[in-house]
Amino acid sequence: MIQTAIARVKPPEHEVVPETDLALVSRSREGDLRAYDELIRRHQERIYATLYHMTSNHEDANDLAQETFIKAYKAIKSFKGDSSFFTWLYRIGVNKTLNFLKQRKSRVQMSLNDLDFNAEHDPDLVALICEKTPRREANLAELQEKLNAGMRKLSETHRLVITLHDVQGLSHEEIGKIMDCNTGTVRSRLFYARQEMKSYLAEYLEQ
Amino acid sequence: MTNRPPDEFDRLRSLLSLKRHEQPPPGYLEHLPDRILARLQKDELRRESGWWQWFVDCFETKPVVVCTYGFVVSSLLIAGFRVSQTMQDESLASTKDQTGWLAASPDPLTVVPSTFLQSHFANPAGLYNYSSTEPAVQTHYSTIPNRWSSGQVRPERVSYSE
Repeated sequence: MIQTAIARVKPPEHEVVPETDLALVSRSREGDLRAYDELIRRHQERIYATLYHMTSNHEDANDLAQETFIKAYKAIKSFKGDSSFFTWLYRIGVNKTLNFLKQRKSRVQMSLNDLDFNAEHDPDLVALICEKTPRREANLAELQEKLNAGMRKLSETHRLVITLHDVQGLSHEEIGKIMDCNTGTVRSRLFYARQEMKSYLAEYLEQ
Repeated sequence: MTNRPPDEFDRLRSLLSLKRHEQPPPGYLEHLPDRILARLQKDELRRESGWWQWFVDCFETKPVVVCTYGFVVSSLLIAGFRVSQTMQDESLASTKDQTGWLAASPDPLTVVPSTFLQSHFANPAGLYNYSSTEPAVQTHYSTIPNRWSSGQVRPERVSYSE
């Protein structure tokens, strides 16, 4: 009740209330590109990141991100609002990426120079590398290389589920909607994907 | 509140969080919406400008389409030429092998006209018996009396004074 009451409090006049995704979608349906521009700016970072972790290549992720937003705009009239716009957008991007990866099978590329230097100051990582990992001399670049190599070894669906859950932080339910499967399947895929990764990164995970 | 039992994958998840720090090139995300909107507007313009513009744009962006188009057009031209040649050969062969009422009618290309017709049409009115270097000299006259004929007309002196 309290929360509902708070939600109904009218914001001050000078404050600009951001439009909801649904409002922006309905304006985009009528051809308002400025509304769609706002939608892109809201979701581009997470969409790009997911595609990047799936393809391990900036150029491919860039192409796929553009294709995803273009396809979403062209199909926006078919968006019924059953799920959130973000989930719907994710589904388009993920399907495009899976198709792309099937075609690309043989080509393997990895960008290793995109690591944000702020990672060195991440307390979790510092703790992991310097205190618990037996390979204390391991530097971030080496660890990233090993991590990406492990991701490459996974199947596309396992890589996707690890990316969405452990890297992007999405819930099992959201992942189920994106991958068009139930949460049980998501949990099962996540378990097997983690097991594979764990065995590959054993030397970094030993107590 | 109970403490959650340690997950066997907790440490792996911590390690995977490293991937959150992978960033696109600086400024990339600032320009991405502009690139997408530019492509959308270009598509919109292309749709409005008609099929010919679409066709030309396809050539610019898809070289495979150009090659395919060239190959199809060349194949059609070659096929058309071959078909026309075959049809011509067949029509000639069928002319030679004709039977029935067509065979009874004379072929203007092969029929030889009679000697009279040949001589008549080759030299109508005997015009080509003479040439400019050998002018014709008439040695005999008609039998019709003519006052200019020799022996019948004589020149006479004429006086204008009377």
